[in-house]
Amino acid sequence: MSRPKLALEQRLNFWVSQETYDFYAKLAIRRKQKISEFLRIVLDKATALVDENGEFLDSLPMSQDDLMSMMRKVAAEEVAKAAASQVLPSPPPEDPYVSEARKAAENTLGRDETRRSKSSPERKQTSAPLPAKRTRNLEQA
Amino acid sequence: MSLPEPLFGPSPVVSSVAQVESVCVNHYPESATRPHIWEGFQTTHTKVADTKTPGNLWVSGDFVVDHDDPGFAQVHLRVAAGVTRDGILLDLLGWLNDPSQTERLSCDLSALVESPPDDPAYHYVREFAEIVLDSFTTHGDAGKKGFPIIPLP
Repeated sequence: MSRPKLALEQRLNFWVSQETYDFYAKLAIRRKQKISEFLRIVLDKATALVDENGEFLDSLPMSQDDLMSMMRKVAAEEVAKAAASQVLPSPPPEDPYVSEARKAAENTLGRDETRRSKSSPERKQTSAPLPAKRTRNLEQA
Repeated sequence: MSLPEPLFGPSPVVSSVAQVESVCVNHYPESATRPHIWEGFQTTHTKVADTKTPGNLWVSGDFVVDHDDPGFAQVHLRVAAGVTRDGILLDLLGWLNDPSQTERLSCDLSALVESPPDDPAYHYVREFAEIVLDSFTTHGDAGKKGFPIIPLP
């Protein structure tokens, strides 16, 4: 039986882009392009989890938390690969404005990370089932 | 479970200080944290305005979502390429990017000056700028985009 590939892609696109955007932002790579590549990889893996009726999130044979862990692991692997191949041009070493821009980005990321780690238990509690609003967004997608 | 809604529509939302105060502070008279965060913002705004730096102040964090007692505001000074680069501007950037201000003012502060396309550092600074923008354009679990931008005179 053919699977509803488009609907699955839409759902994954929405969900994964929300949850993994930060992985790419951290490494200052071309995020939109990399997310597209990443989505294809996750899609291939997630498609294997779709049952014969094409159901995905509603009848997944694993918990949402487990699926999230899997996606994070895949994302981390892809980020590591991308970072290994990414060669950024070196900035002018003494430019204080580049230095301040770097501080702005590093501070922002550091605070995000700290905040996320502090709130992770709460986020975990609210991650399943899908919040009604997010479900509505998925349906409208 | 309902999620907190952003208080502003899709970006860019050009606002004034008074508008942000009205939406984010005055509408929450019972809030325990918003007045304190607002004091920190005002200190920051005064500091930036005193230098007459041409740019925009971005405001984000859970301060700009429908949350009675937000924990933080993100405040970012973005200065376009082409401004005169002098000691005053550099001192201001250093002040805003000093992590100790965050604790003191209850605001996550940051600032950067964009580089012109012909600058050797253009792509590098742009990456940093996008990282900050990414952080500003999603409000926590709400996942919606929108934050006020206050032009500086």
